[in-house]
Amino acid sequence: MTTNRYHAALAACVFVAAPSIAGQAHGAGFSLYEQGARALGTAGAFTARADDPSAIFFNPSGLANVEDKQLLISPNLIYYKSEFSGTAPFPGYGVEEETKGEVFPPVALYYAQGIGKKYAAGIGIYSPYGLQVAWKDPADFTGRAISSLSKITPFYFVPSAAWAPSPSFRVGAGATIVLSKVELQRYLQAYNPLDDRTDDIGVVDLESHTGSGVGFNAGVQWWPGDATWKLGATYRSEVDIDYAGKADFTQLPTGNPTFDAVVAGSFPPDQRVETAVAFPAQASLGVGRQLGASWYAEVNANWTQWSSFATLELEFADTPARNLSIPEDWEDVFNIRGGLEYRKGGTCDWAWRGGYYFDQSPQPTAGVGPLLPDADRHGLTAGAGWRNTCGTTIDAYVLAVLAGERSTEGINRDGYDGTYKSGSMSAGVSLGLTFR
Amino acid sequence: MHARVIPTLAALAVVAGCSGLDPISPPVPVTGNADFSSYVAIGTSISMGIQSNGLVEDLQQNSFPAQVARATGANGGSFVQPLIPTPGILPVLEVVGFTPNGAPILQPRPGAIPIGPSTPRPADGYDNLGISGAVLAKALTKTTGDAPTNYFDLVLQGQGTMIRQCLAQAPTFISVEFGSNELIGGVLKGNPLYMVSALEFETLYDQLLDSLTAAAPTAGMVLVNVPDLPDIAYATAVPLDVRLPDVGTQGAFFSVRLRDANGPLPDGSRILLPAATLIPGGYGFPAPAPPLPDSLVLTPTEVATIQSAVDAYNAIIATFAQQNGFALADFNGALARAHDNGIVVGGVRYTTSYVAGGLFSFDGVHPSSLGHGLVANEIVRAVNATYGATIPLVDLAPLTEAGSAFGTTAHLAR
Repeated sequence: MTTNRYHAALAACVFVAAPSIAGQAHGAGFSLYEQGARALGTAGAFTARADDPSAIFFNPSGLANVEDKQLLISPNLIYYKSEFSGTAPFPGYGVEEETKGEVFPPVALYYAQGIGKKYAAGIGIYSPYGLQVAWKDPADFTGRAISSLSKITPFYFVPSAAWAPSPSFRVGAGATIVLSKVELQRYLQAYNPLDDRTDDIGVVDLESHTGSGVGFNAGVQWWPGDATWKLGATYRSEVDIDYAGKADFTQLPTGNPTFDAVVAGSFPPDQRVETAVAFPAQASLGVGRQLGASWYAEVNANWTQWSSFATLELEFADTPARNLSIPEDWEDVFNIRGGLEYRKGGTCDWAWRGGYYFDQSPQPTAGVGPLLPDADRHGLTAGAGWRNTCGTTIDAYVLAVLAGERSTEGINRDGYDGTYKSGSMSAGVSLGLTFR
Repeated sequence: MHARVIPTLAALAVVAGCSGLDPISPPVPVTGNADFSSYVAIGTSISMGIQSNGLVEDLQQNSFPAQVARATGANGGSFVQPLIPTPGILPVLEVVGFTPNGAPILQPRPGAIPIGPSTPRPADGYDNLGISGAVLAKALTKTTGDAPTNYFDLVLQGQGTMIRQCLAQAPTFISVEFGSNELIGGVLKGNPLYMVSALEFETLYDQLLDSLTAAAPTAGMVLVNVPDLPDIAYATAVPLDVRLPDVGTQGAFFSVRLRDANGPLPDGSRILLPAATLIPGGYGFPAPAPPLPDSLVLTPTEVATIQSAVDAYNAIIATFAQQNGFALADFNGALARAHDNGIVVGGVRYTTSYVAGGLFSFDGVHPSSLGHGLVANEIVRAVNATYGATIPLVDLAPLTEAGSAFGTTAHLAR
């Protein structure tokens, strides 16, 4: 009868709208391409030329170029910030929000070893997806009922091997072992009929245990003739991660004890939660050309199968009625990367690099929101490198990512409309050491 | 290293364009071919701003005509309504608590009932001429009120009919919201026989528009269609099944399908809100308990009959809108979306659930302030589409705050 109907209706109101999982990263969607300073100097256009241990990420066939034993350490610092200006109908004109403006320090680590003249093997540890969106002053953030924090942290362990059946042709492949965690936070809000207003009634923190998944990568390189032209292709498979973790539900006092008591009657307990994320497949085609003795140019066309991020499922162990299936409906996208390297005479210890990329957003307009305000991105990079005859290399880059303003066009699926503007800067170095 | 690199990156990010997103100011409303310099609302209790069984100033400020007027800058920023001081006429119902098993306890807002509006009637009449109980026939002819509320007197004050007072203001734009009262009798009395036929409705609507267009030939109009009345909270608040504890098994429950005189109610039936007070007394339970009275039940056939009538009315309204080049505001579609999936505002899903949902006021019949905001935005969209206007949507954020006071900027600091 009407009796428990109120509780049921309240519960439905509170828990039906729910977050989706995403982080905020440097590439479109939540991809992260900062896997080696030498490659980043040319905007990541490295598929055709990959010839150092970072080939494990960029094109595993390139491992066959590695001689001796090489260690490559590539730390990065990425500063990211997103801003939001609201419009009607919600949260209204004049509302301004921003993320915390944090710095993330992803590190890529590679070890590779040549085995004879034709073989090489190695292992890479890196994070090609991830990062986070943490809104400033989350308890006051107007989009807190959608998401106040989303964080995803995958670590890829990629043992790889390559074979060069001829001096101009190489193939390579690797296994991808992924460990990952997810954290989400959002506020629970509900209509409070006693005070005729919408109140914060709780906050839910979802933190997963470490989930795991496996995949593979593979690639080829063909440097015909005198290697003036360099061609390469690579494929990184989708990796599906199933997460289990804990959902902590904390009730917040509204200032109305009567309403709080009603909320308590239907407030969910802390419980186990399960979800899954598919890190999408990527493919890359690269063409490079030596231009005279000093210049090298490369262009890559990359494809990411973001359509794998179609829905997000959240399953609650104790309250299955609150399980959720959230449409994301991302689309497969391309990005184009191109860069130039100048090394005087082709033999100088120093090299200078520059590049540009355009990264298409996979996110439909209706999904642009506090969880991940994605937009098309333009990236400009500059870099430099130094090497000596002992096989020691030091490379560095800076990258400015310019994401244009993106409006929700009044169709955000969570009813949170306005315009986002995001941008980031990153810098990194790679230190390569050769052991003979 | 962090101490230097982080500020450097942040500074570079600013240079690179990471910052500098300015706040977005409300765009100046451009009303296109519509002229809101003299906007008049005619219609029912919904236009009037009735909520929770009463008319009171703080809720009238959120009537959809008032919200449309604010969005369009109508009438030079002064849209005059017959504002009733608190606690209202009748005193509005408020939720003051819940029974031990979660049912809401409603009480009238305390205070002495005011004698009339606090805003004096302008010489040419109120801009909001919506009147509770108005059907087309009364809009065209009625000049005096009826006890106990005397809403017609309260608005018209003996100065002529609703239509006459509308035209006396030389309106440049009119919102026309009729039809719900012609049909609501079928819901409130649990019997479709209490509905006005579509033919009569069409005849009177035609007469109304003829009167308006003859006297105000250049006035723009938005015609508001009729919501699917069997989906209002009044008709959906009470579920067909009652969950009872199983005395034989600790912690177990079983369901009982409530019944009327014809037996257990079939799926698709509606039990009307007043039955909620009878069911705890045993009404509707298996014999020998008394059945639910027929007047408090809509059978699936009756529901279908009412829905067909709503569809017929809306076809008539749509035809008139098309024939005259008027905007058509889809109130029906808005309620249907709210009924089916709720309306998500800022990540919070508001529904048509009685009391808890947030879209209906506590009488289960009239929209809440937020509900009025959604209707206002339907009107804005319709006017924009029809009249080449770019009127900004109504800001719903203030309507989710305590008191729903319009014009507040408190939400900006949330």
